[in-house]
Parts: sequence; structure tokens; C-alpha cells
Amino acid sequence: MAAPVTSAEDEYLGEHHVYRPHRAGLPPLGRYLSELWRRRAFVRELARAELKAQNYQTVFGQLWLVLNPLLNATVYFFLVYILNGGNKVPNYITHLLSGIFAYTFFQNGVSQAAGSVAGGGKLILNTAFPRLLLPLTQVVIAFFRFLPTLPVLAVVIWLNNRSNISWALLYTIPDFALLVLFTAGLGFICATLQVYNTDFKNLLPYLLRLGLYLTPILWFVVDPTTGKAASGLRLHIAAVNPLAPIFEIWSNAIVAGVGSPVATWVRATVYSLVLLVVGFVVYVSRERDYAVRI
Amino acid sequence: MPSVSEQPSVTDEPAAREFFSDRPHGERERQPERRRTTVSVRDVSITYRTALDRKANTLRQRVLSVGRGAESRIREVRALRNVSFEVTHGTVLGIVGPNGAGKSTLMRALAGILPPTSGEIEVSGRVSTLLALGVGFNANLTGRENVMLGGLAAGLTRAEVRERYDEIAAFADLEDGFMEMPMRTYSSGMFGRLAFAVAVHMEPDILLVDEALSAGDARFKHKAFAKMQELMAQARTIFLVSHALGSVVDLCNDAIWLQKGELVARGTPQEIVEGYTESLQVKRDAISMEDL
Repeated sequence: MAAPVTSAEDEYLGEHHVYRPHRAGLPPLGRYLSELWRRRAFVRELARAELKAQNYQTVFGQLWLVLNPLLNATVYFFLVYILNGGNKVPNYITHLLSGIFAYTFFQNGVSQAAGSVAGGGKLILNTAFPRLLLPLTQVVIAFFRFLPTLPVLAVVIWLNNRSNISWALLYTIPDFALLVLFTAGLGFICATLQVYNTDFKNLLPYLLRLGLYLTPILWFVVDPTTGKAASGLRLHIAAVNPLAPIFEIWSNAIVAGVGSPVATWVRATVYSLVLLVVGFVVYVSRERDYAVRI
Repeated sequence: MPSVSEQPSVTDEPAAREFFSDRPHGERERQPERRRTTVSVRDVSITYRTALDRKANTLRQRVLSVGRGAESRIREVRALRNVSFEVTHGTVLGIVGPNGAGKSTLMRALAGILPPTSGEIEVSGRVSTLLALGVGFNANLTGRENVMLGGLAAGLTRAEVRERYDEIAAFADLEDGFMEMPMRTYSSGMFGRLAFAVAVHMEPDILLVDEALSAGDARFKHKAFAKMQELMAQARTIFLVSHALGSVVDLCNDAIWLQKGELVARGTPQEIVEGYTESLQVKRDAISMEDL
């Protein structure tokens, strides 16, 4: 149990608040972050409760979480296979599935975070707390929903890509951490947009689907058989899409079993951190307004 | 997109530990009685911009209204206008006024949820809110989970919420098993009862009650009334917004009257209720005085 908060000059009443208008958007960061950290149990509790409501702890609940991206991957496999004129690329299934699984995490995290403020209505209207808790929890939930896909991915790698299993797989851990930061940052921005534009939720699925096609998931940046970089449009897209470097590293580690160039890591890190900071500032500087808006 | 950068924000203090107190049981009552200011509202105005058109807050509308001067569709609502008052410790302040007078806005501002547009609000003590909408932000989760989440969001530890949970559940006295059922299965009376139970069991220094005593059946109203009197006996500060003017007279020892965001008068509950009912040109009959 936390010690009761008492301030020396006001022992009797214990707590003292002064509410003033504040023009600059950001609250004092140290205090905001410590209030956020103090409420970490909220994240755990809400994630647990929501996952329970989604039958996460049952076999069929977990099966469903795997089935959905698997069906998606099947659709894309045939799509690409047909568009490709029936040319088989070895390890393509590993590349596609690992990419789809990671992208599903990203997609779930962003879209759930986007709806979290609008869905937190009563809590926002009645309780003062750091609003960042809501989208953060959704990213945590998306991560837990990603976990059951890992055993499936392991089996696919074993069956389809056994020869390329190497220590490079460990690169996926920091890479996924960057994806988490990227997801959180974009989730914060989308949550803010959703508050001010109630129909943003209708647009978001299209943007996320477009994001899937613009990210090297259905296609390769570097062909694993020839080792040649993609040319033309694909290379151009990979160069400008901030999400691309994370998925390049992901595929290199899982499909080719190799590390990625330092430049790719630098791009992935910079994009993730910038997005996280921008998302944080955009969200937090406006969160006092949410109680009025929703 | 309407400008929001000028929206005020609460920053000076953690706007956070309201709703639940994290003080051990009983400590509050042992404190010596001292008349001192608990809440000080100084020249507070709150203005918000609302869209006249419900669809104005959509991307679609923004696109369609390009070049058509969309700004005219936004109206400024001055919910509170230069309101000032002070409340001493132990006061039970009734707040009366017609719909749209700014009563709920004032309550949210006191809780630190809505920042003032100008002016300053000073609050000493832990605030527990019982606003009209009640607890239970996620209707798919159970009553128990919602109580836990509300407490955690307000900054309590899990152990602190658990400590109070049994009392809350006992007081709300929901039918068998409802605490373990999703809150979407609750009736509005059950919602209200649980909300009331949560708010009064958190040992608040300052309790904000917005039209919530009307929740529940006659038996629960009786219990709620008794609980309110118990809290008053412990010299807690209570803000009571109610259209049931009888309960304002019975429960409060001080009252203010808000109209169109302005503080019209302050005085004893009898004076204020009389003035207010006169202005409404209704008789002080059983309907307007209806208890709780």
C-alpha cells in the first residue's frame, strides 16, 4: 500500500490542487510520467480484463487470433502467386507469414489505440488521470494478441526455411521493440485524430491496408535467391516508407538469416523514436481537451 | 479543424488523485475541526466551442465545407462566467439552477477534469466524483473490473481498491452475481447504485454529487440519504447538484444558484431555493421539492 500523500504545509487536508488555465500544451513532463508510471497496474488490469472478455485464455480464443492472420496470408499468397504468373519464390511463405503476423500486431495496436479515447467516455468524463493510459493499454493488448502467432511462425520457419535459421533471429527482438514504439507513436496520433474527427475510424482501415501494400511484406526489398535489391518503384517505396526498415530487418533476420545494414537500423530507430515523441506530444498536449470533445 | 492550442490545461498539480482517497480508514475523523477554506473558485470562466452540426466533427464535413466558411458552424458556449466563491471545510453546498446553468461544468472543473478558460480553482483535499454518468466506462467488463479500473485510474493501488471492494459491493447491494457480470447487463438503477457506493466509500475529503441520489429504489435512496448524513457528520465537504430542491434544503447548510453560467446568489438553502423557485414561477409544491 502506498504511503498516504501528505505535504508538510498542509498536513490537515493532505492534498492541494490548483487548476489554472494553461496555454502551452504540455503538462510538466516529470510529473506526468510519474503519474503515468504510478498507474501501471491500470494497464495490466485493463489488458487482462479485455483479453478475458475476448476469450484470450481459452484454446479457441487463441486459435482465432492465429486463424485471422493465417487466412489473410492465404489470400495474399494466392493473389501474389497469380499476379506473379505462378513463379515460385522459395521461402516466400516464411517472408509473407512473418510479415503479416508482425503487421497484424501493428494494425491492431494502431486501430485499437485510435478508438481508445472515444471508447473511454465515462472514465474520461469522471476521473482525472493521464489519458495516455488508454492508448498505451491497447498497444499492450495488441502485443498479447500477437504472442499466440509465434509458435505458428516457428513451425512455418522449421518447415519452409530450416536452412536459414541462424543467430540472426535474435535481431528480431530489438526490431520488434522498435515496431512497438512505432505502433504506440502512430496510435497516439490516430487517437487524437479520432477525437477531433469522429469518422476517422472509417478511413483508418483503408490507410492501414495501404500501409500493408507499401511495406515489404508481400514483396522483397532484397531478393533472397539472387541477393539483388529490388528496382524501380519498390526500392523507391521502401526508401520513403518509415515502416519499411523495420520490416526489412525483420525479413532479413527471419527469412535470410542475416543481419541488416547499419543504415537500415539507423533509419528504423530514428523513425520509431521520432514518431513516438511526435505522437506523445500531439496526444498529451491535447488530452485536457478530450473531456470536452467526447 | 478548430484551434485547440489555446485550450487551457491543468498543470500545476497532479490532476489525478481525485475520486479515491488513499488514506487509511478513520484517520480523517480524528482530525480536529477547523474552519478553513477547502475550495476556492476565483473568477473562473469556462468556454467551449461546440459544433452546431453533429457531423461537423467529421473529416467528411471538413472536406465538403472547404471554401464555405465552416467556422460559422461553431458556437462558443460560455458555460461559466466569472464565477467566484469559497467553501469552508465541512460545508454541504447545494447548487441549484436550471438546465444548462453550468452546474455540471462547475463540478468537473472542481474535479480537475475540465480546466478553466480563465481564473483559478484551488482545492485542498481529496476529491471523489459522483457525476451523473457514474462509473463503468467499459460496459463489456464486469462491475468488479470496472470498480478496480476506476480506482487504479484514479491512482490507487490494487490493494487499496481491494480493501474497499467488499464494502462497496455490500453497499451497492446488487442482485446475486451481478458484480461478476458485464455492466451492459445492468439496469440504470444498478449503475447508479454502484457509482454511489464507489464514490462514498473512498473516504473523500470533498465529495461531488451530481444528480446521483436519484439512483435506485426507495430502499436505496433511504440508505444513500443516511450515508450522506453520516459523511456530513464527519464534517466532509460535499457539493450537491440537485433538481430535487427538497433534498437541497434538507441536506445542505449552504447553497449557490447558478444561471446561464453566472453566480446569481449565495445564501442559506432556504433563501436560495425560494429565490430560485420564484424565478421559475413555479410553486414550491410537491413536484419541485420532491425528495432526493
